[in-house]
Amino acid sequence: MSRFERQILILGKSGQQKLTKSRVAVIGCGGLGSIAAQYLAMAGTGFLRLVDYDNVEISNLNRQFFSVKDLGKPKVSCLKERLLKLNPQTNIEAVRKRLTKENSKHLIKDCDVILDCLDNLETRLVLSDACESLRKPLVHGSIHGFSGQQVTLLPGSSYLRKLFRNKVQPKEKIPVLGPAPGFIGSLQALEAIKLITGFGKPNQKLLVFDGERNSAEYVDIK
Amino acid sequence: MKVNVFLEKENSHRMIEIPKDQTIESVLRKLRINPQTVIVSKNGGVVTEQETLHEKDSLKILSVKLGG
Repeated sequence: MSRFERQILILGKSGQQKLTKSRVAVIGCGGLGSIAAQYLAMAGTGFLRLVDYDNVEISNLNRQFFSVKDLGKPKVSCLKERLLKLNPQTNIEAVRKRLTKENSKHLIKDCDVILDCLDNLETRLVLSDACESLRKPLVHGSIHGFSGQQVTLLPGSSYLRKLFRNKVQPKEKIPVLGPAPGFIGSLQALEAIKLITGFGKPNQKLLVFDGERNSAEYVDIK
Repeated sequence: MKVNVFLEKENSHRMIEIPKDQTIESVLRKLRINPQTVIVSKNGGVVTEQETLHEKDSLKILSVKLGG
């Protein structure tokens, strides 16, 4: 019996092997990234690069999968430790850095799929530009309050500059309930698994989910 | 002319009466919405605020989400 037997029923052994050989960059290890990375490790992703500069703060614990013992420690180190407990076979690189224009391409160039789990517009655009330039698939997710959005951007399509043209980062703190990034981060992991294995259809329309009023909209950003 | 507007923030649909050949920006102004805080789709696709509207166009005004 294998730990992957239930997903091999869907993906087959060849799909599982693709996961084992895959390399994924998770950029941002907060509410979205800490969830997405766990599902990717559990699914048997071969290599995960975790990128985040922040330390774990008490206010993170309503939504991010860290513990009280992690307070004050780098998120990437704590997440790496947690992921290795979930699946010791996953090769994990913890990068305690902010993603910048200077290092963005270096951090993603050897990965097959990139997850945008960031928390601000400026860095999201830097990441998107790097993915577009290197023709890497970008699995975007973001949240606000009860709500969230997700889209998978493939080479040749419009990336985030079109979606966020002329938009600004709000000055106030973004409110959030834990299940919102839990839902969107899980979707991002699912999208990454689909891209890696070739199963299913990537979500190329922007899904806008409103968990407060129970509605979902899809819009085309091509 | 009339355009159908969906406001995500309120989860409500409104039929708005505007003069012919107005832009999305003018609709946002009428609704007192800052264009920098929303993404607008027209007939299912994301567009800029300078896009001109026609009779029976359908708009979705979606709040920008940036948290992670």
